[in-house]
Amino acid sequence: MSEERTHTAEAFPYGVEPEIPVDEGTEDDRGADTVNRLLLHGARYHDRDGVFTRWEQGRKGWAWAPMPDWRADRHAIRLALVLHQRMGIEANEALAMWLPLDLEWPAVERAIWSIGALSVPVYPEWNLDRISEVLHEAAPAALFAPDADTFRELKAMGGVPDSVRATILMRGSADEFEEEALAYDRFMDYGGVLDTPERASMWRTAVREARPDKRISWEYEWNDSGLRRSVISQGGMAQTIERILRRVPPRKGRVQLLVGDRPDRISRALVFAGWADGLTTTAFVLTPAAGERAAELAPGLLAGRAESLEGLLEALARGAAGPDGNGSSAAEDRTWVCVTDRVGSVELGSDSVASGRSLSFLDVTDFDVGLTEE
Amino acid sequence: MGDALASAANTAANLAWRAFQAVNTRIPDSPSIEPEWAPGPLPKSYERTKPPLGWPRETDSLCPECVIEVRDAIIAGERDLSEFTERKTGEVKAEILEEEGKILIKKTCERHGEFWDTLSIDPKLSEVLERRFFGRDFRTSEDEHLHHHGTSTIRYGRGAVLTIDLTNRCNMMCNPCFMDANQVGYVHELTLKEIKEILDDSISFKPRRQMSVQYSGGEPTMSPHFLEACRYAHEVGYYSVQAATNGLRFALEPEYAHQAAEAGLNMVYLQFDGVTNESNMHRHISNLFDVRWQAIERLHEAGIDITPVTTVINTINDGQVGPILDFVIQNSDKMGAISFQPVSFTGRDEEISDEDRHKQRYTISHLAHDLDRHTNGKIDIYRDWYPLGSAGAYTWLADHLRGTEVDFGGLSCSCHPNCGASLMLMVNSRTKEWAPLTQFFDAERFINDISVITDTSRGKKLSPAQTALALLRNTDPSQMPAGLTTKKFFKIVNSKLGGAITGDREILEWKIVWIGGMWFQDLWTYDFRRTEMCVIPYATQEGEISFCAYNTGAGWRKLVENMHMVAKTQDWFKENGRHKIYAGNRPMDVKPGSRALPIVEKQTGPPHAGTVQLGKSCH
Repeated sequence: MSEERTHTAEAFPYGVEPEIPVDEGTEDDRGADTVNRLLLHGARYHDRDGVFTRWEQGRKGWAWAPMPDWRADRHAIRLALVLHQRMGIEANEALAMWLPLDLEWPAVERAIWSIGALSVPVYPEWNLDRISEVLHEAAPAALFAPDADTFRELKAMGGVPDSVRATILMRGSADEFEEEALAYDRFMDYGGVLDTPERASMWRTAVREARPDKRISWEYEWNDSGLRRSVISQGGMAQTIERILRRVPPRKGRVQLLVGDRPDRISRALVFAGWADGLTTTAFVLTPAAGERAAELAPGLLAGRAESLEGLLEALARGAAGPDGNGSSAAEDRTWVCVTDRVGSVELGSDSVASGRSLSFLDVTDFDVGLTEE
Repeated sequence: MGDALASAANTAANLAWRAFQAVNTRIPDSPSIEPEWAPGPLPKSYERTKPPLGWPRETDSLCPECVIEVRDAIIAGERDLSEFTERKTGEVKAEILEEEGKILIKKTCERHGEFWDTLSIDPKLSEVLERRFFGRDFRTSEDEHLHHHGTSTIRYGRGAVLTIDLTNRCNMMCNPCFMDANQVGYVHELTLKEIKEILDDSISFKPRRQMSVQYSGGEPTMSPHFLEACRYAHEVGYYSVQAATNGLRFALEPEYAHQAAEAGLNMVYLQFDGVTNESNMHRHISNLFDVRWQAIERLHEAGIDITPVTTVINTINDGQVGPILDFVIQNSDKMGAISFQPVSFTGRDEEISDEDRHKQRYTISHLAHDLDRHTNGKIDIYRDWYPLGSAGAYTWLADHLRGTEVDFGGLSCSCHPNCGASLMLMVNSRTKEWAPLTQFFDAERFINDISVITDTSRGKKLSPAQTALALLRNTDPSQMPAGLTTKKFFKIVNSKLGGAITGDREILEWKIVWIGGMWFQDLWTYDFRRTEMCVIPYATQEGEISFCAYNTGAGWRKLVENMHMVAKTQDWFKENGRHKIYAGNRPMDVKPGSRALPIVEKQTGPPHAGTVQLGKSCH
């Protein structure tokens, strides 16, 4: 492994006001060889109402609530600042992400990558024993956990390794854990205060400087010989995104639906590709209610596990048959389908989402690159 | 040929107007419309009220010393807030009169003796401004949950600019500053929940207003919630989302202006003391003008309107008034207004000596004379200046023309004629040719015509037709600046009225540039008749308070901030860390440069992600 160029404590001092030049971008930015740079691009150049969206209750009742690019960008900056400046997370440390692939996921993972640390996805279908095994193997410096109940349960069985210096609970209060855990909302409040122009500019400079071979994520799975770890690099993820964008060229107004909450690397690559391309909106479909309203978005790409997709296609067909008949985007003549848990072109029970609209299946092996064993 | 036609049209319109009104004014007025947003039918001109005007006259004011004593005692817990909400503590009668060619305000406190100050150095201008006042807006109703501040309570109008202090933290260290957390020793900062509640409350009574919201501080961009607050105000439906800012964040962080624009920020009121670094030296950043320019460029690039705001102090920076006007004309592609704010001695300035106060006092009349001198009479003192409250006439017209099927009343600036005055310039943003609008447009007669149109209220066809006639007959094409035509002028007016006449809004190179003088009160000039008509309410955790009652007068700022402070400044810094402050007469590191980041839209070499057609760039 070559020497990694990271922002060290000296370069990005903890608790000390940085004296920094204003970040204007450099000629080096022309190389799109890291996922960091792709995402910087997406944050700056975009043309869409929201980079992500979710079915949720707002001021005017339940609706698809888009997260605009500026907010996603600020979230990533604020998370990175609080991780690094307040919690002292350094480059090359691992952070475990035990949360569903939802609106918060991309900002959290981007923040981790941006400070040179590694994300460790913890899949929702793993039981506590497996989660504990992975955590002890990865020895993360911080843990993003779903809520107080699950964290308490994991702690009770000794599943939280000593390496964890801080835990962030995505929902609810963290009061019972005192210094040990922090609620996500409070975490973001700290980040908001740290988000000054000087720190944000410095963050962008640091993000831009990451090298393509910088490791950004560990993937764990079990095979016959036990737990196996693979690694994804900045360049590897960028390559995956590049292939996705070549296979499915971005188009203004496209919505891609991600159904299910499993943050596998294909789903994440789709999310980050959508963020980077500046045009795509990624809709997270995590509940049956969201699935029932998915037709309103006229999705151009559907992704998820085969089982989840079957249900979604049925819901889309129902939506298309509704009074609006808008189950598909008029701008596109087909819907791309990515079955994330199958290799090779696959067929599903349904073959269309609306009359006259065909499905085009993506073979995940076409673009699942950049993963190497460690 | 064109000029001759326009002149003929002007003459014909005048004749047509007279002929039409000969009949129209003999027919009984039609009933006024009653839009859902209004507390009742839109009043006729003869139903609108006015405060006592002219001089000599008596009004209610404050003893500058009593009120400070009471305010401090309330903060110390020695006296109760009801001193201000239920009693008239600190109040005295004042007389406004003409003496030795000036308009003065004089008052006597039994304990502290006599006080006087200058309201105007030109009684003729003051008379003109009061004559041109259009009248009060609606009296507010069902607003007790927001307006409950004793004699400082706002009683009239829908307001124009709702001001919300997001935080009292700042990244500059101006001396003196009476707001910054570093100076007052505590942090007052709204949570996002509080901001949302304030914005929701503000449209909860009638008249439901198409207000602007202006985030202020401290430096509002220091608030972690600034962008979300812009987004929420936009979502709620505020007419314009603004920020009163020092511009540093926009200069320092290239993305921020674009992100703010995306979030819904429409306009910034940019602190602006002069057009050179030297004229900004008192802010303790040696290249502050360069920084401001960087901010202006970034904000303009992001599509955010910019209004420079200059506090004018006699003998200190009154010499900058003319150069700032020139600067804005030269950069009228980027800026559509200037707000001059004659000094108001508030905060620590309340301790100023009488001698210094009289020397530094600057009024709207000073401003009018300074601009007259600077432009060699091109800006005419008595022809071109109108009270800010006259703008209410145009809103009144737009409200009538838009009818009942709108959710909000138009943005209405109907403040007291002593609160401020403005003039409008027609500026060609390309050639920089300019002239006062009232050089070729008789605004005073047009406002009278508006009264006729709205009083008679002849419906959706005849009212716009009368408006067109009124515009035409009051426009003298022979006095227009070179290159401006009657047709272009009408398109601009239509656009300013929100497309109320023809429905469309066209953007032309000719622009109306607004030159405003907003004179906030202080303890020496205080007049409760002004406070009750305030159009710039501060929205706080303690309701909506008149700008002047908040920053001076009873001094609600100190009261509210002490009641709702988040922490002592030092404790807050221990908990949250310090932010950078630019001070010490050092330069800031800003440099112009390419903002290009990019991978995209250039296909060189083998295809990669950057070669696909990506976002067209909102930046």
